[in-house]
Amino acid sequence: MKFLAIMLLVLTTESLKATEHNIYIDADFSHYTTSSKSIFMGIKTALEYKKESLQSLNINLIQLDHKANSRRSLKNLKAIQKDPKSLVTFSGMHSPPVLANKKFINDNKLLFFSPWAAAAPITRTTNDENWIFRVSVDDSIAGDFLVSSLVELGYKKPFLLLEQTGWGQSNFKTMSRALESKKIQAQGVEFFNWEPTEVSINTKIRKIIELKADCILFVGNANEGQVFANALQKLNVKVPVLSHWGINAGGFFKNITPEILNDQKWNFIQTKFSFINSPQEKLHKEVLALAQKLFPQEIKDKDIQSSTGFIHAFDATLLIVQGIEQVGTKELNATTLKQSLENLQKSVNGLVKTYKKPFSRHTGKDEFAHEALGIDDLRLGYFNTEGQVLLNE
Amino acid sequence: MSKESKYRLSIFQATFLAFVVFGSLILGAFVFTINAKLDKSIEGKINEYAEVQSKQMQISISNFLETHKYILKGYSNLPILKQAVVQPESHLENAVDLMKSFTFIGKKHTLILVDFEGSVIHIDDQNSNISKSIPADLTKFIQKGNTFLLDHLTHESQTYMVIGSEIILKGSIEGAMLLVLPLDAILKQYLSASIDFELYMNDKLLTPKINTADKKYISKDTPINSELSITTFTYTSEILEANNDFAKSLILNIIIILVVFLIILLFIVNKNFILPVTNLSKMTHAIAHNTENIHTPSHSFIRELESLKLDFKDMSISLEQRSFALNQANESLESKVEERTKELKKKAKELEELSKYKSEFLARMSHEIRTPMNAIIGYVEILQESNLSDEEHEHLQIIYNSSEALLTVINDILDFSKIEAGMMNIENVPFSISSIIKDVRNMFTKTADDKGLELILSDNCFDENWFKGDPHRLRQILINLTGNALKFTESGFVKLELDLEDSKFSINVIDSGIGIQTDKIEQVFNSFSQAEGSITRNYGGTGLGLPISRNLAELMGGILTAKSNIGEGSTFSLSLNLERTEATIKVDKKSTIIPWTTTPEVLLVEDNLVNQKLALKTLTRLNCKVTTALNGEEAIDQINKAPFDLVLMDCQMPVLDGLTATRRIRKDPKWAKLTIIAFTANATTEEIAECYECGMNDYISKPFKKEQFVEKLAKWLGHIS
Repeated sequence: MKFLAIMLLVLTTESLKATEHNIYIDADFSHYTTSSKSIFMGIKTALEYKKESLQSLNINLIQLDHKANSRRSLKNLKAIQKDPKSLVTFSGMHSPPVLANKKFINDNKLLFFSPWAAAAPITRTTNDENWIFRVSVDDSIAGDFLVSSLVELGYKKPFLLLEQTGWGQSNFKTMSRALESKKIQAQGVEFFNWEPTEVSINTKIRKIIELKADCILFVGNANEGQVFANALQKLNVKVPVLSHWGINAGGFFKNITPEILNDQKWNFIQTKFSFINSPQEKLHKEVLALAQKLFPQEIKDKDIQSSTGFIHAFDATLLIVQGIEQVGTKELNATTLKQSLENLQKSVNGLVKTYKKPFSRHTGKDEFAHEALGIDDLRLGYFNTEGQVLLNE
Repeated sequence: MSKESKYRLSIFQATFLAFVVFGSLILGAFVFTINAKLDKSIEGKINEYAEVQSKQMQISISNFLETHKYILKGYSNLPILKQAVVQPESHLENAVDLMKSFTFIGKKHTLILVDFEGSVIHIDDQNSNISKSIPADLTKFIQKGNTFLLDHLTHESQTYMVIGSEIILKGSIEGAMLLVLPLDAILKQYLSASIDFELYMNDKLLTPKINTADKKYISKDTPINSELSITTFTYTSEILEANNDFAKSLILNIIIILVVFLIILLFIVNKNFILPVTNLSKMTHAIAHNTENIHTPSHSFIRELESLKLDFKDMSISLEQRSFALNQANESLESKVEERTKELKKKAKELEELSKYKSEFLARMSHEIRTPMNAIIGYVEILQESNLSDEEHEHLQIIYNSSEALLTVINDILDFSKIEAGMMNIENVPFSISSIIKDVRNMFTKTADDKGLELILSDNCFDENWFKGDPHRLRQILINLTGNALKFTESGFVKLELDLEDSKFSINVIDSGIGIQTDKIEQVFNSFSQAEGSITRNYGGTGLGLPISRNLAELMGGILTAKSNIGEGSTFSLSLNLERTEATIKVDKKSTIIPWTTTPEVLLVEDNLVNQKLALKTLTRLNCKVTTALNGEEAIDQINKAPFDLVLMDCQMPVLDGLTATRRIRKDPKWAKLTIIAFTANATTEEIAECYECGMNDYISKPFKKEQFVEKLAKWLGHIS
């Protein structure tokens, strides 16, 4: 009897074990904590929201910090790869690590989601199978969008201020193409490194002044964003900035003054949902309430910092859950899940939109196969005086 | 120079010696101090130097490392590198190019770019092989707090130092850049080539071990930082040698300076002190010894010496003057003295002559008076012995008494004169007190009886007490005193009392006479006075008796005192302090016993026939065979003819006087033993002395008393029996 009991226990735990899955977030939890945390919160909220569907599953959400270091990210990915329980990995807001390790991910068949990293090549591969999915802005269209926006807003002499990374580079390509197609000449283009020196900043700004640009197209992260914002303020440059959404994360808002906001009118890419000024549907309220319940400290009222991460991660997780439902818990693994995701039958009601078959198998013919959002899903956003992100009407 | 100065140094020698001694002492002290100090200081200096060298090395290496670290840090802070370590897939290329351009103080070294895990991202390699020697585990360079970690590696037996600088992005260590420094060449090139050192990292030697061989050295361990330390080797032989050389040259210099200085000093001292003093000394010596002064006083800058020289000059001049004055005074004094001496001589001569005259006079007087007196008394005595009638005897007695009295007076006067002239001589022969006292008693028994007075002698008067003195004078005094006592006592007694006390004795003559007024006692001792003028009239006498007695007493070394009062009698005391002696032969006065058994041959030399006859008779009666001579010459002839037992030589004679004759006789050694007795009326002290001087054995004074005569003869002829 005792033996049986023990055997039963072991078996149960084993069986219990068998249903355990790990979802990883490999992001910068050191310097861009807020953004990474918002992704975490999004995933967690979604998992909670879909709790019933995941009853038989024991899903762990594990944070891995790559500190924006590609190699660290690789190390993390190697660890994930070694983990038999790993199910899916989310990236953070940084594209470079994902880009650097894209080969590894695809080669090692790691199911990967980007809820934020926007670099175009991320979701494109030459491998037979593409294991990386995105519910975020795709840089291949971001550049187009920004250019269209600037045209819409009536600017004619843009200055390109881009991060000297793959992300920056890819944006440069797309922007250049878009400008060309819109027949607008970029006044100048400057690339900046992470943690740029004052000298280099000022040099670039002077160039902007000299060239009499009427707007700046900015592709960089919050840190570089606020640095440039302050520098522009110092040099009394009141030029509007149309920025990629990198500045949304981290300490951009904290490090700028209302005057800067006022003078420089920082507008940045957002997906078309905002907790603050999007129509309040039932789902939104529920999700917010749930999020607030789950993270009472972090989420107060409607304010989710770096909401982009939250929103996209939430939607991505819904899609994943849908995929899991479709596969069934018994045969759930990365491969089956991937296949399921590439062939979602049911539509998913997300925050940003309702997703109808968002993904398809990436063959190379359709470069957007693993992109859940398109150009229509993009809007320009801005900070209000409280630092909340609001979308342009 | 005197004998003493042989053992003394001249002033110059002394000074020189002092200089040498002191110079040597100073030098010795110098040498000792220099050596000690130099040694000490050199030790200290070497240590300091070694410390400094070590510190210098430490600083050099530290600087070297710091510079490289600084440069490395600068490089590793470049954003390109930061991006390269974080996103090597996209940024490494830039970094590689950049790293190629990195130089460190103009030199290119291997650089290693490492990721957050310590995995090598890229090696910018000068030496393509070095990558092989890079340690596999570089994680320590990534560890927090290890900025600028040092490590080392060895490649192809060359040691390299590895400096790592972290690449930090947003506060976290995302990687590191490592600089690989070849040690020896680098260090040797940048650092001082003359200092040997050993570099230790965490106690491991990185640089080659230094072989100090046999060289002297000081090693200093100095830490550079927490991982590195350096041991420097400072070679001391050269320094020590240099030190020694320095010391030697210093000492030599000092010696030279000192010697030169001392020589100069010696010259100065010589000129100003020594020479002046030496010259003065020589001058003084010359003057002191009356040798010719050839030394000129030398000049000196010293005030005292110069003034000494001048004062000396003055002094010598003054001395000369004084000496001259002294000589002059001396001369005048001498002449004065001469004069005075002449005067004195003259005076002395005069006095001598006077004295001679005096004594001659006395002698003459004595002689002139005594001679006839002698005859008178003598012949009266002879006559008394012949058969005469009672009346004749009475007449003779009266003559005798008168003669005696006269003689007494004359004797008194002569004695007094003698005494006044200072020519009274006192004999010093043995005598018996008792015999004298008895004589005196005998002398005055009749007188006392006649006057009805008692003449008492104290009992001890009969004791045999012999003294040495002048019995005659003693007798004289007693006679005087007793006579006076009897004279001035009408009734009662006269007592002779002997008070004996060792050698002192007093003879008291006590009477119960008229006495003398107490305050007039002294007067009686004054010559030419009596107690009262009436005394002479009543009692007669010259009044010289007492003065003479007192004088005689004083001449004998005693005193004569008196105690008396009117009507109470008198006591005259003669106190003498005479030498006690043994008894000698006494010749009884009245006895006609001839002391000699044989018949002595006597030569009587007497020019006065009266005296001659008398003496002759006396001698004959004494059973002597007498030959006569009238003068000295005859005497000599007589002596040469036949031997005599005794010669009685009168002094004053014509042709040849007794003294001269005696001299002549004594010249002949044949007559050395011949007894010659002076037979003189002139018994002054001088005369008697002269007699002895001439060679006479004794003297008999004239007039002579028979018993005296016999006594003397017996004395000299006593050997004959």
